[in-house]
Amino acid sequence: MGGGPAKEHLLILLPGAEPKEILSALRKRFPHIEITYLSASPSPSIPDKAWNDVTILYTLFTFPPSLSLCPHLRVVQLASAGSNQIQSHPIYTSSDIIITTASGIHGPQIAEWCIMTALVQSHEYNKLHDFQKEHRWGKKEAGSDFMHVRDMVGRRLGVLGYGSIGRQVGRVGKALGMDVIAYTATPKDSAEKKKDQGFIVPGTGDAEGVVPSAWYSGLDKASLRHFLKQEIDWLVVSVPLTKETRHFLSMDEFKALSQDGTRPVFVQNIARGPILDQPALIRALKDGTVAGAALDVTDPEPLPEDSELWDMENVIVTPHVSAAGVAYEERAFRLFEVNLERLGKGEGLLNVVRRERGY
Amino acid sequence: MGGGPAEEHLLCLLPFPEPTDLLNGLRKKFHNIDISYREVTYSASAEQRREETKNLPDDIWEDVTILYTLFSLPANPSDAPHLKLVHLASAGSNQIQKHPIYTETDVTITTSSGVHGPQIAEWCVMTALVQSHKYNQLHDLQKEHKWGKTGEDDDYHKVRDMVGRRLGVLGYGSIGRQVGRVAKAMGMDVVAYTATPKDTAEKKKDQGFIVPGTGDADGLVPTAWYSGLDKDSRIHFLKQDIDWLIVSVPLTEQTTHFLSTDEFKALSQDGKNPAFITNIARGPIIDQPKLIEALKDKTLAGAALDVTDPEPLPEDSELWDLPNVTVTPHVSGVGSAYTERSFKILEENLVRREKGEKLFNVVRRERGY
Repeated sequence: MGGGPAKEHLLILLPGAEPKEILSALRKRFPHIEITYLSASPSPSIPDKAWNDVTILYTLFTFPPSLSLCPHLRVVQLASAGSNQIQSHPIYTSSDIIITTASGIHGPQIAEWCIMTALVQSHEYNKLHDFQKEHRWGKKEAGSDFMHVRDMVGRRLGVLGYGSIGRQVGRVGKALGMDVIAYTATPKDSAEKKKDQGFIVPGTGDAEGVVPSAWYSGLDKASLRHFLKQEIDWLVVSVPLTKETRHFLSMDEFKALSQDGTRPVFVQNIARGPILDQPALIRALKDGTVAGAALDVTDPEPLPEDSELWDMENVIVTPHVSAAGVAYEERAFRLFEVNLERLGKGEGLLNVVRRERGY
Repeated sequence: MGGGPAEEHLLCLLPFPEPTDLLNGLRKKFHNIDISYREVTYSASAEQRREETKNLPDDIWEDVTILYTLFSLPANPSDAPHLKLVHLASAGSNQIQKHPIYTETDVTITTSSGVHGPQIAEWCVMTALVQSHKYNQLHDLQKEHKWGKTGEDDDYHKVRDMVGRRLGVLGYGSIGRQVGRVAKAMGMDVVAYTATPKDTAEKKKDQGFIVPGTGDADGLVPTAWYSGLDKDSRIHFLKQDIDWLIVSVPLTEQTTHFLSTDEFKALSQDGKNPAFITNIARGPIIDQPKLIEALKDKTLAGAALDVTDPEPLPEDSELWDLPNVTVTPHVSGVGSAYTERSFKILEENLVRREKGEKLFNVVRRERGY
């Protein structure tokens, strides 16, 4: 009987509306894959049988209740960049099932959020918006108030975690006339290592790794602080959350970054809240060690109503929305398609989570 | 013995405190130029500016050969018989175009076009992203200590980024080029519009002052170029499926009310693809009442205006409260690097003058900029 790739059973479990067009395009493109879609919300009631045949699972936060239910499962594709949500599940802890993430799709939109919040801060947009609400052409005061606005030319952007999101922020930072320096877990000491081998949204990113003028690396505190001392004006935190990066930045790091508060530094976190020691951040913001912050992620989420972060004038808090947008789903599926192709051909997949390093 | 009176006298009349470091730098470099500085008071009102200028001592102009100013000029050219060069601290020269020095003499006038690119481009990107990412809503939620909400007005989850969208730059000068540069980095397609055709590689170049690390010196960013001061050419450009239009042309007779109802309709493909419009040039380039109509009937998706007609924008203008409209009081180019860069242009021009070379940013009176 016929050849061709082995029959696969793909189960797609996502919140939100059924992506009908995307599904029919997938079915057309991969006739050897039986594709089942089930809604993951509000509360998915998935019959055990649905798990039995599954070979590929595409999901965000819904997993089989036990490994024994899905003996044929070989690949789990997550619709998120991070994989923290699966890391206590037996799929992660007690199996070799390949887990892949959607890293690579978030760059453009999250980078826009980073640029926006940095400029809102440096151009004092909140004040301008208040003038507008008052119908106030605040010229005289505005003229003198805004004389100290400084653009980004010649200033230094430090990207803590030069992955796909960091690379896109770097790309735009460079276009703004900034000097960009990058930090990675392991040394990127050859042209090959500086490359981004993952999924890149066309027209964006830094595939060749040519944007940074300098590279730093290391998971130990000494290496981290060495990087932070490089006269950074704007720090973007875009590392994954792992054992090593939990509370990566605390008071000592904020002090290194700002040379003990003598240099104004703006810190942005679009990765995961616990990477920053949040109480320490709050102290650093209050005592001037850190000049300002923009946080799309906090610890915990939702940020409790009584957190001091909400009301600090130099702090922007948004509710984990920087990647939420209309292009997300389409790009995540496009990345998934690449992986389905590669799977069919027996090739290595994009964004395979390496359990030993946690991402 | 050396010395004797300086050959040249540079007078600076500027609306900010004396930047002593910058002046000393100039003095050190140009021994034959006597440099003096006087702070004048800024006013948005032309009337008040004239008053201010009248209050200057009569003899202040006598031996001035080079004037570095924003709006202060001698009332009569004859008051400044040795004046040879006027360097303006603004990108535009509209504020002096009715003055006899402009209308009745050949005194060379240069502008500070080129210093504004980075800062104004940042303002353009910021205000566009503030709208597309619904920042105002997020800011309100923050003030209420609310971690988001779902429901009908939760459109900050439906953000669309700029990848693959088209930026139209109406006036591909130094400001337009910097917006183009950043937009391209964000994954946009950029199309450019200029007064005259740029149909060779040479013509696409920017020969003016460029802040290092910015701009588009070789004109490589746009994927397509359009040109022409007539309406048909303009409409043709605006029909190019533009999602975001930057208005960065100089204000001249030809560009007054450059954009009105017909243009907004063309830009939005008759309302099918409402565009976002940004004006950082001069208010009168846009026919403002028609802009308001187009915003209200959704021909346009939104606007960011740092310049209006008139300025200050009257308190009762509808623009203040329209959703999807950002108004700021002509601040986009105001900043701490401005002065330094404006002086840099003057410095470059003084060097070029000494060498008999062409100056940067000379205003061509016949075209108005």
